[in-house]
Amino acid sequence: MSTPLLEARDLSVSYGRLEPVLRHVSLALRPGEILGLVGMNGAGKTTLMRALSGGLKARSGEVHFRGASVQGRSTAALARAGLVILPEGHRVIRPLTVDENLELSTMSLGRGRVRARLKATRELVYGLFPVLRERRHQLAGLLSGGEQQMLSLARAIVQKPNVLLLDEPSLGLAPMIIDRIYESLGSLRDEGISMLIVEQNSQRVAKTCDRLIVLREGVVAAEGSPDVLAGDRLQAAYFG
Amino acid sequence: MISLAITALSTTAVLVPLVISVSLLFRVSGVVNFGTGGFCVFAGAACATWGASNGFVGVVLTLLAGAALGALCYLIAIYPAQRQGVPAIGLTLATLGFGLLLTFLTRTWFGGEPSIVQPWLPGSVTIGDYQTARQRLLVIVLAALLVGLLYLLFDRTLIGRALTAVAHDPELAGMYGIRARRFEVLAWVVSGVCVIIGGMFQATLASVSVDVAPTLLVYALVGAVIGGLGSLFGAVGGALIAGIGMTLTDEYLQAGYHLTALFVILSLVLVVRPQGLFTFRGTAERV
Amino acid sequence: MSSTVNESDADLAPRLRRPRAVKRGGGRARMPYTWLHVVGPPLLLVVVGLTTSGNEYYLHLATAAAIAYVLTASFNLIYGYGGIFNLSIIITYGLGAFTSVWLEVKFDMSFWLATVVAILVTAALSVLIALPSSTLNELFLAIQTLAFALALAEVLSQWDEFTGGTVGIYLIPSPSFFGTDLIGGLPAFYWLTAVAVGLVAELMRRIHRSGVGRRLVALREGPRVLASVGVSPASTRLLAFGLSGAMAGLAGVLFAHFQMVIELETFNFNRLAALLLATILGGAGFLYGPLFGVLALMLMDELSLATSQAQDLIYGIGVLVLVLATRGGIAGAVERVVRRLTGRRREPEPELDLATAGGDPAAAIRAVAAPGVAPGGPARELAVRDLRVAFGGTVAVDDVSIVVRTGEVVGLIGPNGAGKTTLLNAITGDVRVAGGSLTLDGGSLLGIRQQDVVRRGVGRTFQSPKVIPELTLLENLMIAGDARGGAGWIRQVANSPRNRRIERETRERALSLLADFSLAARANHRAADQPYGVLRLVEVARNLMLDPAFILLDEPGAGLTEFERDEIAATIRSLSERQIGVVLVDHNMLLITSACDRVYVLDAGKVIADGPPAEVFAQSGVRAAYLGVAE
Repeated sequence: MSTPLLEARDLSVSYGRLEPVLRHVSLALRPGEILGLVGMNGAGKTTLMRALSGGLKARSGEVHFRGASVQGRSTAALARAGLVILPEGHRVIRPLTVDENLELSTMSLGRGRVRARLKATRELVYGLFPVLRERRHQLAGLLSGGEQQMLSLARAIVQKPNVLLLDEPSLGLAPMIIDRIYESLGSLRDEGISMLIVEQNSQRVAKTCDRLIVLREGVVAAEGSPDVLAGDRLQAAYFG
Repeated sequence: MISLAITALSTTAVLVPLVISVSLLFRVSGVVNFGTGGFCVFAGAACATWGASNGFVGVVLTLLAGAALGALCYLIAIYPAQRQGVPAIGLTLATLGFGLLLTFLTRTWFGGEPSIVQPWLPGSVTIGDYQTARQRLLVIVLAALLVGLLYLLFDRTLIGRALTAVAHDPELAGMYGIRARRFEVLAWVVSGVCVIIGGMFQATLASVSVDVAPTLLVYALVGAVIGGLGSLFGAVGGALIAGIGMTLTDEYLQAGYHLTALFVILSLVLVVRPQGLFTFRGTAERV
Repeated sequence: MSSTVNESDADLAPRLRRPRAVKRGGGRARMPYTWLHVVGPPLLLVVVGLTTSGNEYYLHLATAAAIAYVLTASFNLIYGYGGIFNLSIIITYGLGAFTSVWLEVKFDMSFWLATVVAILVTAALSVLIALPSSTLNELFLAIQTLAFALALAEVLSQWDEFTGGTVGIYLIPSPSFFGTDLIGGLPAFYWLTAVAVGLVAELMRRIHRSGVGRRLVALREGPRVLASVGVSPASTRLLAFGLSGAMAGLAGVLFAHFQMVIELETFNFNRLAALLLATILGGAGFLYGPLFGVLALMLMDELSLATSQAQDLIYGIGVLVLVLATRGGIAGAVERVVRRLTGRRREPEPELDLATAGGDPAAAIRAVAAPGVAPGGPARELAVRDLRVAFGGTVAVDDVSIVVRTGEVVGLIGPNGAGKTTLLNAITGDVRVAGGSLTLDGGSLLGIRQQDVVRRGVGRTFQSPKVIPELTLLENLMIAGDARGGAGWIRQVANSPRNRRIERETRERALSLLADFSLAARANHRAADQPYGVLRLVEVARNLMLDPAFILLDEPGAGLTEFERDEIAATIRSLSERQIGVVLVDHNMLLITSACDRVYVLDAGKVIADGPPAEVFAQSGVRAAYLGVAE
């Protein structure tokens, strides 16, 4: 059993003096794994995502990335260390073109390798998403939602992550686009990128992930392989 | 007609760097720099004093000082307050405080007399019937060069694009691996240099004194709001409208009502198009 | 920036992270010794007058300080209380000075009449500045007022007759009171100033403790709060500008006749900086802030720290330090000391333990809340038909139709991004509707301003409770009562018998609502110290003060314990028993099932199911919407 790349141990998070949004949550993402994190809204999925990427202070418990705590480390620092986030809502740098967005994300990498890396990775990325190659000089703000999501994923790839956290990648996108995205996620796993995908759409992520975790009211209600955790069992985990 | 155009353009040329600096800082830090007037006064006094024997040296030193002051303003007035979660209005107040400090420094180091910098290009030139100082034309050209330079910086360099990203969405920029804080400091440095340039322009064409600091501040603020705080293009546009407005008022209404004219234009813009005349929603603007 | 209402169903985090505010205001609840505050200022003025009348220098100082107090109080009103960065206050001050002198010199008006006219002029001008800027955010308003100030100064500098040009106006006639000349610098003038200051201090005290003060503080917190209680934020802004303009004008009149020489140059940017410093250092939003501020600045000046050379330095450092250490300035520090001495510390208060508190929120509503509809009368109806809301290219609400009647509890559920909160926002006027109809008893609610929707009978709570942290729970409820009461600001300040009656009734009603929500013990505690469970109840109670026909509850259960949620469910049930129609948006299935009569399920902006909760949850289509569509 290899050591987890990203792990939460007994994590509890609350906002101010409210009741904890997450209660004693533990999970571990191993190298080469795709984890699906599902559950109803309000269950704590996005909070968990934030906590995993160092954005929140935990009330108790810890989050470790490659053995070191994420506490106090900025998003940029974590990105440079290999933990890359794809936030909700297909966010891209709208005033820049597709190409410029990709170039910009090379700032995650060390200095000298910028140009060389970019050329190679760009080919990979345009291979995965040919539509981006067509639109490479178009302002990102003028792309469609689906194209923006592809760009978002593309720039994450350029950052050469060890771990990729995806927050609701299918939200607001047409089914065909969602398929494209998930297909490319599959090939990313082959490239050695481990992923944690938060989704409301459990069916889709269930097809791609190795393990499924269901959150309900801030605790892990169920965990297992998607084949086992399906149908009534899944519904029970969701609704209680 | 030509004289009007030249006057309008030279007024615009003085305003352009000031407006760009206000606009840039607002986009990156969300702060309106109320110390702008203080920076201008410093620029005029420093350039006059340090350039007494060698004008070129004076200009270079003043530019460097401008960069340093911009960074200093961030470090003293903005950064500590940001860490404490002070909201935008508080940060704006802090810049006002910094401006006051700067005025004090200027008075102490350079005296309180109005500063006049010797024109970099002395003498005058005749165009048709109209005679104008060479310096005026030079200032117009230099301002255009500055805009071009900044455009290249923001548009062609990776650093510039990172700045655009930070101005647009600092949280997302962090996810791209960009250390937003460094770029914020850079924005303040660039902004400081711009204000200083504006102050120097003014000092070569007329004079700069402490009394005129609030006026320059208002010119910069109003120009920025009129044009729209969104982009370089907006800043230039705003400065142009302000410059033309003031010149036309002088010519066709009455002299000496610059601020009144600006106020009227500002009020109209805020009622009709509060996001600024040159802001276009939907098109993603550059810095 | 107007509304702070969220438009998505995203989770709690962004809304609950509250930035540390520039602390302003306070000490509201703790004014038990009213008589002290009424008698204190006049007493102080008399003492100062008597002790300084022998010494010309100190008399001069005292008079100058008194005038500065009036000016600082005017800025404290608009910035400290109202949260508006009005940078034209100094020119307004100057305008008051020049206007009164001009009227006296040119039209031979008596001082007294000229003063009244000057005050009216400055008040009117201030209101005029504010008129076109009612939707501007703080920063833009600051810029506009600054631009105005300089423009006006420019105009005045050209009007030689009015301002005396570069020389200024000298030989200002002194006012005469029954034959005695009140010459600036002499005791008689001091007493004139003292009377004016006494009146201003009493005015501020009345504003502070009345509905006007509460309204200003609410304005500071954000226009949406005022709109939630049916008060127009724009008119409150105008009121703030008018009052502060009048006070600044009065200060100007006194200044002119004190100095006996005035010039336009005096009313410059440095004067503004000094005023800002005095206000913030003294304590912005505190009743005694201006007093402390003036004293502090006088001290600084007197200690020769602020000679004209070093003034910029002192003021600059002062402003910078204050911005960082903004914990209420001197008045704030004094308040903390007083609180420590009287044994009350400001700590977060405990969670509400309703079990032991013996309270029964359900009873509260039965007992106190007036019926949204006359008992036995016809049910009122809130109807949404084919409503469309779109943001840019995305359609957030897609031809949605729902109906709610008084006495029902209707739930709105659905996955993230389904459009539930957007729908609520459309009903309350927070977002623009692209198509469809929205009616209350047949009358359209479209295009109606937020405060008017509230006045028509549709109340609402927010995911992050919109209560005013600096006010007590009681005061938070009273704001709603103030609005209903019908006493305008003049009556409130004058404390007319009618106002006293209304205020008493409002207070009683608020107290009994609090009592039945088991919050009576916290009535005089600040909202900032309360846990979220309490604030949610307070928001509901505040809505009840307005006798709504309908209440829209936006995720009231978020972040609460199971027990607190049960209480909310019971509260909701009794709202409906009281013939109030409830629309409930929430994620918690148990809460929805126990509280709702009917439920609408939204997904991607469309209604995909409706009916009783149990029925709806059993539908596979609904479950699928939550789990995601199978491929």
